[in-house]
This record gives sequence, structure tokens and C-alpha cells, in this order.
Amino acid sequence: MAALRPGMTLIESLVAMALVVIAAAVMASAVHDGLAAQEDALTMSLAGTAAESRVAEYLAKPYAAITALDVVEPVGEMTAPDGAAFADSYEKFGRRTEVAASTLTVPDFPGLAIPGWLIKVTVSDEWNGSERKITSLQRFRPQTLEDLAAAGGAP
Amino acid sequence: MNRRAFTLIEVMVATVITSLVAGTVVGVVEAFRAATSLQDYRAEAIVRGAGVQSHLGLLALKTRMTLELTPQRVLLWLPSETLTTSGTGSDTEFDRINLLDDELHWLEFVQEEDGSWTLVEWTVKPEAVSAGESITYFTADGAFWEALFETLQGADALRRSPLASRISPARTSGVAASAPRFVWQTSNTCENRSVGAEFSFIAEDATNELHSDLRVESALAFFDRHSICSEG
Repeated sequence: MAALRPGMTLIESLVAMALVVIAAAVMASAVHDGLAAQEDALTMSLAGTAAESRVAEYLAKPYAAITALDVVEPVGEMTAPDGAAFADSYEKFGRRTEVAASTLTVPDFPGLAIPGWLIKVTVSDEWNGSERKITSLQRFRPQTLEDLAAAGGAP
Repeated sequence: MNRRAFTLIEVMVATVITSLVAGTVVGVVEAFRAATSLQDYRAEAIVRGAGVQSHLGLLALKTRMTLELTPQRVLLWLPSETLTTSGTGSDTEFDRINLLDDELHWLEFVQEEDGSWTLVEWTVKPEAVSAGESITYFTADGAFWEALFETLQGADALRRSPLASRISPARTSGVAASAPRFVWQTSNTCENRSVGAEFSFIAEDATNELHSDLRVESALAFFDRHSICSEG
């Protein structure tokens, strides 16, 4: 008759269970970190669309209607070009819009200077009680011949 | 060899500890399942949002003018000819719309039978249009383009390409709009230089309905007013 094999002792069982719990805790921690990283990615993605929306507004405006400005929309108070509030997913964002007259020069074409507006949009949220910049977009809106003609200048 | 059996106390202690560990593991597994579900949803929202944004941006880059602007449908005109014939003010190929050359792109929010919405792009099927009907003279009258859409759709001459499905109206201050909508700078098609959309991605699991509102807008990079806009 085969000899009886001894079973696991209580201590061995407890150690095994402790290892399972530790493994589960490590797994949960990894999932938590993944979720946090993904939340950041979604936040950045939404912030990008909020910035792009503002830039599109200024690229679409009649050139003559653009003026220099530096405006801050506080967190939760961003508005769309039509004056409507942004949807709820954007409530955590604030936005700064800076528009300044600028001249674009091209190194390969000395003497070429294109007048226009430099549009800079920065989207932020609040993190631990202070402002956290999430994304920043910058575009140059050149003055076209059509813009010049509309302003009464020589095309 | 006879080993001493467990005492009742030992067995009870082991049972209690096993139950506690099992309960913890079940809780962790359930939290893991919920977290992976949330991860899937967020990843989907990011990818689908980026897809809509990039496609809309690409269309805006090629669009000369918007021809029809309604909250649930917009029409973009993407000329197939080069810009070299532009600006003549005459009846050139560039100023006409050829239905055979993929120049018209309708974007529409379509409500499905289950109540959800789908963002659809409609383009003309060249094989469904005869050569004699292919050239359409330009008009800035939105009603004309609306009627053309109905005619082409009735004749099964439009190709349906879903850009995003399972979407819903965006919510503002917790209140959902009646429908997802398109946004633009001005409803005057001769002046409008931007197009966008506002909606929400939805996902449901056993206990939650998750929303991610999205507003995407693009300026028409090469807006070019048709000469008819300057007439009368």
C-alpha cells in the first residue's frame, strides 16, 4: 500500500493565501495606474478639442474683425463661438486665448514679411488646488490678398 | 502512520480565513472587471473621437464652401478641379459641381431604431448617376441642395459611410440636448468658414451609462466664395 502523503499544514495554506492576496493587490495597483493614465489621455484629448475649437473660431473670423486680446475663461466657464456653454465633459477646463499682431518671415526668402495674427490657446484644469496646463496650440493667421482688399488696401 | 486530525477550532479558523481571502479575491476580481470595462470605454472614446476629429479636419481642409447648414445635416463642397481656374467669375468647371467626381459630401446625424444616433457621411454613387445628369450649376440656395439630397437618396444614388455609431446628444449642466448637432460660424453659406459637431459617446454596462461629450470644429482652410455669392 502506498504511503499516505502528508497534506498541507495550516501555515502552508495561510502562506499560499497570503501570496494570492499580495498578487491580487499588485494586479489592482497596476489596473489603477492604467486607469489613471487613461483618464489623463482622455483629458488631454478633450483639452485638445477645446483648444482647436478656439483656434478654428479665429481662423474662420473675418480678418478685419480680429483684434489683439488676452482673455482667460475660468474653469467651467468656457463658451463656444455661438455663446453657448461647452458640454459637461468640458466643465473641468479653463482656457486662455492670446491674439497678437505678428509678422511671419521665411529665412529662404529675405525681405518677405507676411503680416498676420498669432493665435495662442492654452487649456488648463485645476489639480490639487492649482492651475495645471494641459495643452497649448499656436497658429498664424496670415493676411491674404482678399483680406487686404476687403480692408481697402491694394491687393 | 496516523497523523493527528485538525481540531474543530483549527478547521473553523481556517474556514474563516479562507472565506475572508475568497471574499477579498472576489472583490478584487469584480473591481478588475469594472476597471477594464471603464478602460475599454475610455479607450474607445479617445480613438473614436480622434477618428471623427481627423476625418472632419480632412474634409474641412478640402472644402471650398458649405452648401447646406442644418442642425442635423451639413453639405460640404470639395471641388475636384485644381484652383488654377478659380476666380474667373465665369461658368468654369471649378465653379460647377460634378456629381461624378465625388464633390459633394453630406454629413448627417441619423437616429437609429434603438434611439441612438449615427454620424453618417453620404457621397454620390457615380454608377447611379448618368453622365447627362452629372453637372449641376451652382446655387447658394440651401433648399436646392436639400432637395437634391432627397432626390438622390430616393434614387438610391448615395453611399452611406458611418463615421461614428452609438452616439447621443451632448449634455450641458446635466441636461441632454434633443439631438446631436452640427455647429458652424454663420448660417450664411457664402460667409461660413467653419464646420463642427457636438455629440456624446455612450457606453453601457450592467450598472452604468457612461457619457463622453465631444465638440470638434475645423476652419475651412481654403474657403473660396463662389462668384454667385457676389451677385444681386
